Amino acid sequence: MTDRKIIAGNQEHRSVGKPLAQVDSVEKTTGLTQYLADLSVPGMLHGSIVRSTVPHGTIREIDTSQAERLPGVLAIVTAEDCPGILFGPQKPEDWEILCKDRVRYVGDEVAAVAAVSPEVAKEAAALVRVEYEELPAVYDPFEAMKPGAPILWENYPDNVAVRFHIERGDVGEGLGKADHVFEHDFYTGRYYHAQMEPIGCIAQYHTDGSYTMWGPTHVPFRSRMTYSKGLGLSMDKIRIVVPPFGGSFGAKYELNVNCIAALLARKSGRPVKFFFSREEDIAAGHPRMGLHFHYRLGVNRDGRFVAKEARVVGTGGARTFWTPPVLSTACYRIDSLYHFQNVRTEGLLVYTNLSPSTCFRGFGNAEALAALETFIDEIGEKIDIDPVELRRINGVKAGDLSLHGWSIASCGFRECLDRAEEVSGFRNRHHGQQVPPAQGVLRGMGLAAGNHISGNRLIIDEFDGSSAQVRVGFDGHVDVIVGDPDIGQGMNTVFAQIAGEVLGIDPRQVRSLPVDTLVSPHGVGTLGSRGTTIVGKAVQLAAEDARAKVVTLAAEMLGVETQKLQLQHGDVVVVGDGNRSLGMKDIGVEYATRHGGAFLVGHGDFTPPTEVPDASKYGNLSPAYVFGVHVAEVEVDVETGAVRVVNYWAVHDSGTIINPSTAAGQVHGGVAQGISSALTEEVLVQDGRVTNPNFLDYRIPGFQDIPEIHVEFVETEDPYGPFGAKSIGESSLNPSAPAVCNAIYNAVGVRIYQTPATPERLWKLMEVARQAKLEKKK
Amino acid sequence: MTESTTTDYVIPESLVEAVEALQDLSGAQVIAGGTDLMVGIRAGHTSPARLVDVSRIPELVEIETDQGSLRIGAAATIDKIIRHPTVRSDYPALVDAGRLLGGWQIQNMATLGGNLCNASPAAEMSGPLLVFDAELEVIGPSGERRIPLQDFWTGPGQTVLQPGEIVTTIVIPPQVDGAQSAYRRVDIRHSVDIALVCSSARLKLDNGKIQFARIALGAVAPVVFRLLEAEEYLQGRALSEEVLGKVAELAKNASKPITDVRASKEYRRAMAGVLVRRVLLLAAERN
Repeated sequence: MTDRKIIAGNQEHRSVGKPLAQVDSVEKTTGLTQYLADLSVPGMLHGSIVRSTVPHGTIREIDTSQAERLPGVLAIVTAEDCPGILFGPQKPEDWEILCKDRVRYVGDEVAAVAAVSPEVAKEAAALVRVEYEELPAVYDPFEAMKPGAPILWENYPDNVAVRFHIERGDVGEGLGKADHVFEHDFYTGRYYHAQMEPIGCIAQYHTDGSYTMWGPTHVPFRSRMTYSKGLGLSMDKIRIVVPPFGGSFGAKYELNVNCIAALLARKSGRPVKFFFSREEDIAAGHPRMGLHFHYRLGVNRDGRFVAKEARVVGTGGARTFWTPPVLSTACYRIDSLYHFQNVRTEGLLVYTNLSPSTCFRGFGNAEALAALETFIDEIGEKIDIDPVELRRINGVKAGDLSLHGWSIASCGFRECLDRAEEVSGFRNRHHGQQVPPAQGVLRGMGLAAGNHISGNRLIIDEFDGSSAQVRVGFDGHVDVIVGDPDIGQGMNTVFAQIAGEVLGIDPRQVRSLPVDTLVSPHGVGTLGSRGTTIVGKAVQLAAEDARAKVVTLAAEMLGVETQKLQLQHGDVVVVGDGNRSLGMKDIGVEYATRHGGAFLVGHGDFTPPTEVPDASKYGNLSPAYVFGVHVAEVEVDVETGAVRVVNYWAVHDSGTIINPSTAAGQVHGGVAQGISSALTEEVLVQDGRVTNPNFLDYRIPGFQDIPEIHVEFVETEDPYGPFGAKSIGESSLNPSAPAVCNAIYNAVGVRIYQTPATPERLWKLMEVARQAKLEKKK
Repeated sequence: MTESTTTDYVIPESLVEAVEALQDLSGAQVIAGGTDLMVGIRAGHTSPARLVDVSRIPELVEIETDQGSLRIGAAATIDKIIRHPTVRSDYPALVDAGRLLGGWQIQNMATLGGNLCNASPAAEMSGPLLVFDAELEVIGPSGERRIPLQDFWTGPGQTVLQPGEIVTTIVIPPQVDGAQSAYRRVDIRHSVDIALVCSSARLKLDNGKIQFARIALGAVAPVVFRLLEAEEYLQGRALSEEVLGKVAELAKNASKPITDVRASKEYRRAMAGVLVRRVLLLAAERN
């Protein structure tokens, strides 16, 4: 799948810029990694959740007597066992742990059972009888906002949980003066993360009233805040230990199941483990929310954008997870990709009787870009300006300050456009080229761009940034200690390369310690594409601090000036006298000897130059912004609507690439996820029930669905990130879906306004177009 | 007879033992590859009191030719079938279909008998076997019998098999010399998917005119079925655009699809027309 150009990197670097295999790859590929599913705590019970079988209703009665009698059942909890505090990761806080008197979606948590085995727990959960009085339900956000619609939460009579209004300049005037005004509607469906490892956790109750929780989470420290509120405890009463991740893509932030497990652990006095089945993970998990975009864009004859008006409506579920910031991102992040001059956006997050949505790679921006980039393709055609040129005319540049005060320090957007156009041959594309020998198969090419952040100011209100420790043990080994977990994307490998570079040691000898809130330094979390840029920078600073201590000590030991010393190949060497050197172990032993056995520890903390946006959402959100341009080539079967992506090019500005292999891996994964989000993936719901909770009917791509992906990096050097590095995790996904949609248009002349463009949807669109053509002929 | 450690799992070594094991416990069910059955058991759709594993009975896993007939043991795996030299050379529709059935892992486990007895209207192997005029040899408490495949299914998941009966062999009778076959399906993912609609054809052309035709359609009715009207219509005609158009119409008219999570009935009906044309052209091309 690779034909990527391995970037040369800075020749002076020995570790940064090298395609090192991920530090845990052997362990993972040989099956030795101990994931949550492999973990067991002595005395552990297994939990199962009794979930609502109706989309909306009041609870009349819960009868647990039959379940209690089942041998092997040790505890059953209902709302009566909950502290009764409304809580949650974002506002409005609407989590209850277990439903008190009302259920709001099929899958809502009503009760839970702990038993000696997963099988007994499941059987017992099925024996809990819950009587509901059904209420009318609503699944469509536009229906939900109408007067007289069923109301989910009485405090929100129009079902609008959150409303954003973001305005700069004078949109009315801008649209009035524009040479052209175009409109566009786009809908992105509900997507499941399809991470390999379903959601799960283990909770243990301790006699001092505290809990230990094991489970993968992007945000262990923030989770502690959320869970402690729901459980009515102080934050220090919760310890979260993060095992290796089996994937997430945003599925594993704060999860109510941790609180349910805590209630059961307390009641039973035994540790309790939950591990969702795939069906449960799909049907009652937290998919990417569906988003409706309505745009009006004013454009001048020369291609300059002059004003944009937008309405973004999010199909929130029955409770609020991370949907408010996802919606706000969908409302305004694109305003820092292009200069729209004047913008006004209304964002509405609407409660519906669907399972709650949460974060998903791309965080609303992938969705907004799907809408915007298909729109720009259409506008380019209408005003007869090449779509790539249209992006060049309006795109941001290094040194720009966007409408919302985002300071674009480094920017390789134009270089990405140029390279993508060149390597893919996009300029010479044909419109609807016949593919021999098959009849009725047409080929087309589409291009789309995207931007993203490298860290997001608003994860924890009080501060932004990260801290790290780099530790040299008395046996000479080096540990990186941070509070932000590697979520499987290879962050620990990047940290090893950064620390290895600074300390002149082989990165394969650097170990990143697991995250445990009891002992790890505080970490904001691994989200918002902040890992490499913000946490990595703290690691760099910590390594530099350690290096200074190493050099100072070595200078004393060797009796030379510090300037005479160099760190290379794991040794401290006197420049010009190769025979005089010390190993890391010599340093480690000497340091410990002088300090009562203490390890040499370097500390680093990085506070990025970000600002808390004001009430109008003005303020620099991230230290560094990334850009990418994708080109997809597709073949469309005009009779069936089936689309095959046959070629793919992805060019990214992610600053300095610390590891070209893992960075390209991120792009491969992002593109694969993007292609299937454009074509096949969608959580389907009928009367509130998910009808495709399995991998047969929820279609993630297989190898035959993904073509060779050509990856290139345009390396700008960012002033803030470590060694000039920026993010890649989310930006790798962002332009992919619109690139595929634009390619479909190029092939068959049909615009996609809803993803996924499944064969049947595309077939219907082509049928409509064929009919229209026939009508015209008449 | 050997029994596995699970008391309700029986592994007979002969057909006679298998029939006995099925007979002396009601709710006993045959298992071979288990690729459909185990999914059903895990999902709670079925809970057989006993599983009788027929995958180690020698005559059930063999593939042999016998005076022009092809005899495929019901417990032969899909992988074994599509690798068999005679199947590869003379029965291309079976290879087309087998390669699309599930994925490699499924093809290594799933059996031809299981695919037919599961009686899915979307089963890959049903259509090709219908156009080959296959028959099933069945053994049961009241002896042996032979069932033409087109009389085998009575509805989704339902067959004419009586309690205690086992399909032993799928028999494809001697074929018309020079006839060629093909199978195609409409799906969404390019591997490890299920047919939204599928079609099979077998054709013999003589100087461009059709001498012999068989067509089958799947996933557009409760059972996979033959398009008899179209077969008759094609007799003596060339595959012109007009003729193909007519056959496509007949296919659409004969389809009684449902709307489900995978596709709407409108799409399925339209695709029946598209696929029939494609398999006919492909079979003709192979002539």
